[in-house]
Amino acid sequence: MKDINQFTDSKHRGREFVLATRTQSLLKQIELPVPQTSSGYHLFLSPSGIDAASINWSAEIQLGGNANTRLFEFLDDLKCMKSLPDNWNGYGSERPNSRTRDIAEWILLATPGFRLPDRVAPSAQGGIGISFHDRDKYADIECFNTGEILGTIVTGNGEPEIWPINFNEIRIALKKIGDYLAP
Amino acid sequence: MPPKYPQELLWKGRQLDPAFQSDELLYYRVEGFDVQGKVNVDEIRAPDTSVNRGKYSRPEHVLYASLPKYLNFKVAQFQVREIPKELHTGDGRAITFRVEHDPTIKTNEVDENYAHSEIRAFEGNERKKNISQSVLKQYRIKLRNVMAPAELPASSE
Repeated sequence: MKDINQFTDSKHRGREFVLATRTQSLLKQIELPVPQTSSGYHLFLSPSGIDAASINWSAEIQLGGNANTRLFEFLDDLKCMKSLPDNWNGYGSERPNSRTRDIAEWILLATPGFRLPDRVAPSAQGGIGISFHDRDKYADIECFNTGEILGTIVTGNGEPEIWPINFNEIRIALKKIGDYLAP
Repeated sequence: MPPKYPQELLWKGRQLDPAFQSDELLYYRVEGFDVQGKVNVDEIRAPDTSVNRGKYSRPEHVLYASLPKYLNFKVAQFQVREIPKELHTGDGRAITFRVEHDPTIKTNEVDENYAHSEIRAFEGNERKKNISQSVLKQYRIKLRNVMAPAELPASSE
């Protein structure tokens, strides 16, 4: 388990700054409402400036420990997806477009306070899959290049529940998935 | 030195074989399996899921596409009868899925592959490509449930 000091070195502090500014630009770009409720993500959106956002992100890191190392890795993975060619998997799939990468980034940045995904990967459907596992339970949020977002939960080989997710329901979807996987 | 392209995958003047036995195995190339031992849903493409049929190929042959790009990948297998047969759209329309033999001819991007087949979607007798992602997600989850790791020769792993 890493402690907060390992995340507040200059390297990660720089990333905190980038994450905070990136989040603000994302909000402007896709015109999402500022979340009003608990669990951390709203701390990013503090209008009091980058310093406040950075401090609050540090608080999130303290809560998350190792989980946030994975979050950084997933965010790096998203950046790498920019350079994927079309037909990256040999099945003719489109690479994730910039809008989808932005939405996936938004979702990942909303995970502190909820459950962190186990996998973030380009989707063979053209988009990005964000998936979660717990024992025989599975859940994912899949963002398609069309702008559509679907949530899925399923236990074992049972019938899946699949539902559309609006931008402003991402936190609700993350809570639903977290509650489903580890009630 | 990459292995040579399998001779079994060449057409060699053979005709299309539309008949599939229900227990014929189909092979699908994947990057790996998740912690539950299942294929990652994001790796399954639909419709037109591209597979090799077991009647004319071995599991490892799906790794020979774009040689040697996928040689370190894994192979998932399932039987023809395990393909989700019918799913319904939100407005009640029935979408059916079935495998069709679709041998490929070598081009700049595609390898010659007599065993190549596709699981295609239909509404009635009309082939459909534009299907709601919600229906396709059901199909992909169900297909994930029946896909199992195929045994590969030691040299392919």
